[in-house]
Amino acid sequence: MARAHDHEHDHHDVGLPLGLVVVKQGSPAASEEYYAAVLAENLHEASGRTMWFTPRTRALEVHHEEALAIKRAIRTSPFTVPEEAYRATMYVDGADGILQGR
Amino acid sequence: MCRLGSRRRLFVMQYVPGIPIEPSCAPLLLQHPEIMDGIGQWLAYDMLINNFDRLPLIWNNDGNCGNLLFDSNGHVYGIDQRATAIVSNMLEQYLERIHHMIARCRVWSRASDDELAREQESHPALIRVSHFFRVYGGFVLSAAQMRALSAGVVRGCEELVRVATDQLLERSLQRARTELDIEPTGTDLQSAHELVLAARAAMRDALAQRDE
Repeated sequence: MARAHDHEHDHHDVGLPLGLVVVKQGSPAASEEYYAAVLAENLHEASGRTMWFTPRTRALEVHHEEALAIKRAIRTSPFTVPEEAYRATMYVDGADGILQGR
Repeated sequence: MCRLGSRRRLFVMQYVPGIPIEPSCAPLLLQHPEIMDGIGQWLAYDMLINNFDRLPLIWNNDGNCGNLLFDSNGHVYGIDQRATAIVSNMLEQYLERIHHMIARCRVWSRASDDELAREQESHPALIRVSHFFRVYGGFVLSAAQMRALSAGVVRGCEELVRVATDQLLERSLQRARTELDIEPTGTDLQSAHELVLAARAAMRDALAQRDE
């Protein structure tokens, strides 16, 4: 499901070539999800074994400026985005609804 | 189109190139013991953090097949996990479930086909798990698969008890707080962290009984 937004700063919009975009309102569970991801990554490193959680569970939090940089990177060259974010699942704080990408 | 620039912050999580459990692939894919073992290890992690939204081993729900993914190399990935705190008067019950499940998985990992067939019809956890694979995967869980899954749970718990030291858990909590820019008094992370500490202790005690 794609959702169109009316906004005066249209240049801030970017078409995301994502498999799935998940937007959570308020995202009350976000910190617990992040803690679980950090814990999984630390366990993976501590175990030294691939049987555990791969770095794919790692989440990257970015603030406004970084978000803009990621948007620019996504727009210009998806392969320059860290962690293959061009195909990432993105949690956006403070938004609502679910956007289903391509 | 998605408006990102107006957001104060966002999470970016890496894409997992996998497929969920579904009838078109699960019956063949999950015949491999190492994959069932890998699922079992994820369940150990789920018990550690009380992540109930995957496979209903100790949780009374139908599970969520979308939170387990498999890639073309047979790797098992969990997604969307989160640590869920438990109110104090229910925590003891949760820890008892962990203790019981580890004991049962130890038995199931070595049980005969006949023994497992009986358990599959009588034990609530195996009824739920079997229902999960039947509904989402379109197949009946075999005794060999149950043994591999159970062995993975035990192996996962052993690994967690070994590597999840107090220092590592504390470092994880601090890092999450720092990177999320959350005040040290944030109750959600602290409560989740305390749940993890208690769950790890329950795992350790259950595994120690195994050796007595």
